[in-house]
Amino acid sequence: MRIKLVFGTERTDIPFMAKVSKTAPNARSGRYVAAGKTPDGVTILMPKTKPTHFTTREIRTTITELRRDAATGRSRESMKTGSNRSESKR
Amino acid sequence: MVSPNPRDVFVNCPFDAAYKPTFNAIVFTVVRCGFRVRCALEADDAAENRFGKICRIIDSSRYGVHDISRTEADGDPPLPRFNMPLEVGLFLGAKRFGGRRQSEKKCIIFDRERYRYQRFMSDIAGQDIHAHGGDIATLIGELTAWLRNESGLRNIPGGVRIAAEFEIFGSALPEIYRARNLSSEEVTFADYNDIVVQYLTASE
Repeated sequence: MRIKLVFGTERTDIPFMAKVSKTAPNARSGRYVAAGKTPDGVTILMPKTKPTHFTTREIRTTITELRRDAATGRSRESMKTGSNRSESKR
Repeated sequence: MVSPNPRDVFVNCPFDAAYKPTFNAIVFTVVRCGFRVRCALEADDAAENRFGKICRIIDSSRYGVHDISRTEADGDPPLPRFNMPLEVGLFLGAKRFGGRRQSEKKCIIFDRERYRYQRFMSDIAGQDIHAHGGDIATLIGELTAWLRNESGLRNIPGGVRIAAEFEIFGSALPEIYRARNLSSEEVTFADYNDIVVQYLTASE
C-alpha cells in the first residue's frame, strides 16, 4: 500500500506550519525557550528534555527535507536518498 | 517548594503500548496549545527514585492532566493499579498544602465514564472530571478547551482543529521514523516530544 505523504503545499486546509523562531521577539521568556510560533499565534515551546536517538537539529532537518521533497513531488526513495545525502554532509 | 512553571503540564497516565496512541495525542495537544509536557518518562536518572522524580515534576508543574480510565482490576488475584490515583492525590496534596504558589495548580481528570470514579475514589468528587469514552478526538477536544479556559490563552485553536492536525501528524509520523531509521517501538518520549515540536515549527 502506498502511503500518502501529508507534507507539502496540499495542506493549506490546516495552515499551522510555523516560521523558524530565530528572530522571534519572544524566543526566550523566563525558563522557556520558544521553538517557533504557529500562524494562529501559539508559541511552541522547546521540550524540557533532549531527544534520545537524534539531535533537535537533525530531526528538524529531516522534517524540513521530507516537506520539501513532498512539495516537489519526489518519490519516497529519492527522499530517503536526499536525507542520507544531507546526513553525510554533516 | 518552588513556584510552578506557568506552562508546564504534568501528564499522569499509563505508559503501556495499548495506551500509547492516547498518550501521543495528549502530548501533541499540550505542545500544540503552547505548553510543555512533563511526565515521569522525561528523565532516566537511576540515582533518583521514581517517586522522588514524580514529586519534583509535580512541584514544578502548574497544570496536571490525569487519566484514571485504566484503574481497573487485573492479574491474579485481580487487583487494580493505583499509580494514577496516587499521583492525582499527590497533585491535589501539593495544591492543598504547598503554600500560596502551589495553590495556583489546576488539573483535569479524565476517565472512561463521567461517574465511574465514584466506585474507587469518590473523595475526589467536585474535581474537574471529564469522560473521554476511550475516544481520542473527544479527549483532545476536552483537553484543548480546558487548557484555553484555565490559561486564558485565547489564541489556542479549537479541539476539532487540533484533532484534525493530530490525525495528519499521525499519518506523517511513520515517514519521519523511516527517514531516521527508527522503529516506533524504540522511539522514546523525549524523541516523540521533540518530533512534535519540530513538526509544528520547522519550515519547508
